[in-house]
Amino acid sequence: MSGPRSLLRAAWPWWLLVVSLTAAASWLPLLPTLGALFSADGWNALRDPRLGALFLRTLWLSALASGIAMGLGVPYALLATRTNVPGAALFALLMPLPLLLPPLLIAQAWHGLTGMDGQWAAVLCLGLAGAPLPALLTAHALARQAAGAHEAALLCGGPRFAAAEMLRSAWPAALLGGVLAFLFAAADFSVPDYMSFLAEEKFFVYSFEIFNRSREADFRGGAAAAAPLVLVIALLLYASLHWRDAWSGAERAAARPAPRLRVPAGRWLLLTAALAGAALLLLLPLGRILYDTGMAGPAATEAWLQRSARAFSDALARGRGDLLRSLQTGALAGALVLLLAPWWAAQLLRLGRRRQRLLFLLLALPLLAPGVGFGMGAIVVYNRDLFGGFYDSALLPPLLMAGRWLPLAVFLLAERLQRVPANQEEAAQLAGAGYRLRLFRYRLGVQRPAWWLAAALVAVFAVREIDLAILLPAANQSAAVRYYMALHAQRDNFVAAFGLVMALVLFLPLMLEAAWRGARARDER
Amino acid sequence: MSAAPLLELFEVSKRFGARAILDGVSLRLPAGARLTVAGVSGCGKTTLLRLIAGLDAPDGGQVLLGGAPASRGRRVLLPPWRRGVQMVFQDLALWPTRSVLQNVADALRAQGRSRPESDARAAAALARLGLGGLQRRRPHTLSGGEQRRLAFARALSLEPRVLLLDEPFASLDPVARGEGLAFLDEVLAATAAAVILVTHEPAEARALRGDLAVLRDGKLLPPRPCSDTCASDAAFAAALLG
Repeated sequence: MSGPRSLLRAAWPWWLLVVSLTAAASWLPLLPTLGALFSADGWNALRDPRLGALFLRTLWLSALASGIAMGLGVPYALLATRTNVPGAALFALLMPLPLLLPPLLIAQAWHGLTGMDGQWAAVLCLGLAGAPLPALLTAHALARQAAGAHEAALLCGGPRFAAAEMLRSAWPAALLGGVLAFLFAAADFSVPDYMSFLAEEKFFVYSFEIFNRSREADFRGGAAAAAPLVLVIALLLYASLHWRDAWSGAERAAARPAPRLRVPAGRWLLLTAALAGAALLLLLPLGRILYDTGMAGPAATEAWLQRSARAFSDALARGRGDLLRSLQTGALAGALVLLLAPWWAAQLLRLGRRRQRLLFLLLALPLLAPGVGFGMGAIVVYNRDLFGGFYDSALLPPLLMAGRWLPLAVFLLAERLQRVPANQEEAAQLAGAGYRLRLFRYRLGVQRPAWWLAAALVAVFAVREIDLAILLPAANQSAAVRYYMALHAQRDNFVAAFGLVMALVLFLPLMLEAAWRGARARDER
Repeated sequence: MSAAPLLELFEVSKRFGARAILDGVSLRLPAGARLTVAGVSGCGKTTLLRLIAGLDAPDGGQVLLGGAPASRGRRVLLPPWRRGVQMVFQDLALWPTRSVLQNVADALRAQGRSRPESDARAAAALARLGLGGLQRRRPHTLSGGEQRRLAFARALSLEPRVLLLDEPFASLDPVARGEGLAFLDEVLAATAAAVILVTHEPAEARALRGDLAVLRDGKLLPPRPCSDTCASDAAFAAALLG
């Protein structure tokens, strides 16, 4: 066979396309940041005592936020997935939702609820926003615990010992989740910016330093300033991946899922704890935002419901265009990830553990950089004559969003593809199927829902991304930026209604997936 | 089996959906007895062990341990960890994040022993089973045979009244299985526990000695000495299939 057909059948042209697109989306915008690691100027900048202190403070505050995320997320995952708490399925369904909200929305809600501001408020809000990360990874690890291991623990030492064994088996995953929460907190710009804006006593974090360079149009300097943060977080992420791999050497998907821990006498106590967790992470913030849609000063004459209805109608009328543009960006980013993620996920599984970690780290680099740093890098690289009108086009934001959030999709898909027995693909190989066919039909075929979910998640994260969108002119007219601007302009009713409309849009893919899974489970029964 | 029964099952039944897996199973087992329960795949052997351990509740009937009711009807009266029953699971159920020593010592500590005592007892148990030099290793780095020894060490170190063995030599190659059967005899000689082994392998039933009871169509047939029923593979198959 020769000609275009054989070219399509071969793996290398596809790999060329995948690597080129990944480079354009993920690695090129990071060149100014990574370049700073190899220049004396980049390191010298950190010797500046003010910058060094700022850097250390960011690490310290992010560590606290990560501690809050783990302190809430890990017990919540245990309650929702492995105890007989009433309504466990609902609590499990709520678990990922806070992660889909822009952290700024959570900050707005908690400021409204408690009036708090300043750096400790930022730490709390970032901790609450990041709690789903350790929760989800812990829940996943708990689901993989073999039923026999749980029952052996129950026979040996009863429920407390079984619970301790459960946590021991999930600890490396929980820690990885904590590191991801740290990463999200350290890289965030919008929440500290908002909490500092509200506070009488201003505070500064490292991402401000990066962002402030944009005001002086020093984009290269801003991107370079992000380098130390990328380096520290990359080391932390690699260490936690290494630790997880070392601990879970024998881990494999359990043939029979471990049963829930039955706590007959304490079911109502469990319910109270789970409700408290759900309230802190999701219900209270959303409730407060809903309240804010109709909130008014003492002179107001309309009822709450009327004001709220007007705020929603205003939000839809003024924000519809931005929301549609964000959805378009999200859809394009998701479509790109639909193409890229399977190749990288399959490649990860072909490698040994060490190379797997290194490749994942390479793919994760755009996520490790603060959004503002990544955005400045993109401006340095793409704002040139060479790229013509591409820089200002509607295609650049989805490309960059796909690159930034691709690692999450690859991580999710690799985990699911790992469950497909290798001999299914080998049988196809013996039958003469080419690489692309084997990957998309025989490996991905049985994990198609995960493939769509991974792309949908990237679309959601692209819609909720504020930091990158603020900087990039082509992404300025988006829902996230409109929300950010309106919040700083203190247009409370509008911003609350618009935030809730965004939340609804962001929750939709996960809700649809859960409904589809439920319908399929009913059919199978 | 004339001594006072340590374990008694009266008319125990268990259904999965419309299918009756166990249908009025009765059994009396004195302390120190050895019983092999044999049957074809899916006949309910593992379910029987899980009901005895208290990991599942029966749908009907009664399980007594030392004369005291442990499960009655659909209720588990005595929780698994208070029954004095230990089990070697078919997939061994070793704790993958714990070292070989910790797999045994953790179980001992869960029974209320101090850390030094637990570690010392665990080390002694491992040494008895030839795992003395592997204490710091993690279970997945051990061979199949070594993993089985570890599972036995954990179960026996807790000095159970009843030891349940759920096809512990399944999925081993013939050489490893031969070694396993040789060590089974040696290991069980050191325990006073009543032992129930479920299997569909005649060699395993012969290694345990004791009696053989066949589980067929949800009924447990009366135990007969293994010296009769397990004398040859053909006799075993005949007993199994009826």
